[in-house]
Amino acid sequence: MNIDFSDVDGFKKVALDGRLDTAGVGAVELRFSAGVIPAGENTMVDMSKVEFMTSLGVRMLLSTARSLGVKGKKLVMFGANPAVSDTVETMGFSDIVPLCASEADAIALLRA
Amino acid sequence: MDQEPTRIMTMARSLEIAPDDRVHLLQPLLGATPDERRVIDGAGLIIGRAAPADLVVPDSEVSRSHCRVELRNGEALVTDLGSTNGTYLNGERITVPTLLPVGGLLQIGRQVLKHEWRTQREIDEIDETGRDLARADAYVRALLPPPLTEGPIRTDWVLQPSAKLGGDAFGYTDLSENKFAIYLMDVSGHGSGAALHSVAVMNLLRQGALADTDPEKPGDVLATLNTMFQMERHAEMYFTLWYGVFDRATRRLDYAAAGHHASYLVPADRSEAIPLRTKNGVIGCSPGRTYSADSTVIPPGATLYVFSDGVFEVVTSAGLQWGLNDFVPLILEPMIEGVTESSRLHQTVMKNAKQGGLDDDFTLVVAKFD
Repeated sequence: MNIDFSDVDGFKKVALDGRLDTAGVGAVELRFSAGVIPAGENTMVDMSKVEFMTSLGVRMLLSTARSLGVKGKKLVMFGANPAVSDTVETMGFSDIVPLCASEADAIALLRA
Repeated sequence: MDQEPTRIMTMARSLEIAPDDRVHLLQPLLGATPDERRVIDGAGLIIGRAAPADLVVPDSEVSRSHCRVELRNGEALVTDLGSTNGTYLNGERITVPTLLPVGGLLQIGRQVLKHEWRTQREIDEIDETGRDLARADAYVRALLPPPLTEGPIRTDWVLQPSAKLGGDAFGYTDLSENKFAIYLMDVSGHGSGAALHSVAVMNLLRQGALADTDPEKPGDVLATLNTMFQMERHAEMYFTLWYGVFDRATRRLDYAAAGHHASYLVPADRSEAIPLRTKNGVIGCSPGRTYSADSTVIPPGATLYVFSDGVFEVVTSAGLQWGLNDFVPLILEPMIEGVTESSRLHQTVMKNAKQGGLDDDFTLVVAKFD
């Protein structure tokens, strides 16, 4: 599981690459939360290279989104494959961490 | 309820280990307790089905003297001793003496042994954690209802915790003369904290102790739990839940799911598996959320399958990731005489899963209706 941080159009972008399962979350959770929460910026997560996500991955995203929410900032996702989209839909957390189709849509949502 | 695990026996051999000395260990992963781990000392180990093997795996698929594990130049080496069914390292059958890397999985018959290299201090810490998990597991199990073997609704179930212990729990109970409730929850995360969170919720549901809430209305039950268990007050844990109420008089099943995948209803002719779900968020993330419910009629002779995601989020021995769509067809495979449905499906999943056990709790409840 890899994680990469960058800035795009003034927003923090986090690209995740791999499987957000028990091992994957264990590998990136600390870097993810440490890289996002203290900065307190509107953040988008590139999910296009996430092959699979379990409830632990959902928890990592949810906890971070809620911490950002306390600071009045948003966390959005984009580019999820059908399996990950299905998990998001089943667990019904897109009202807390919206899932956009593309990076452009994510940027538009963060600007709104 | 579950299949009996293979027991491991080790021949006594005393060994003094200083707290910070590292030793090579073989840790059984399936059905064994921590104290059944075995140190690989200078004399090496013979693993086999019966004494005089140093580590006895009483499994018909294991040869009497199956393989030898020994230390050479500080590294562990495994050699098959001409066993009938072979010795496998990380899924590959070995044919020559082979280096057993730290973390490597050695499969002997149906048992899997993990090679670890640890200090006595680490071992003690792992044992303490294991004891905590065992206590939490016992606490959860004490709340689980026994199978219903007689009457118009009969149940069977399997709950196999993962090595890290997830937060699965379930229950079923008569709410009144005509109303029967069945539910299953899955707390996010692993460990004793997740297990104890499930215990807190289960106690409320078992005792019908949700204030100002009609337990016969699934949507209301989920909404009340959501109000009570917001994650910021509960160690950042949330949970999914499927909750159904069956009316014996009308045969109607009211149900609601909170962040939970569908349960499946299979009619008596077993022609299809009908998904029963509602689209609601998980419990604990959004205060004030409402939860929609739905209903269906349960035809005579139908069977209901309620399960956690650990049942289908399985990595197979071929390295493939299963999802719900891979598991549902297994539900419709023929029943086996003398084997409960939950055991049949558990065995099928375990046959397909990668060695080393499942990453999450496997929890499956089956209810058969007259």
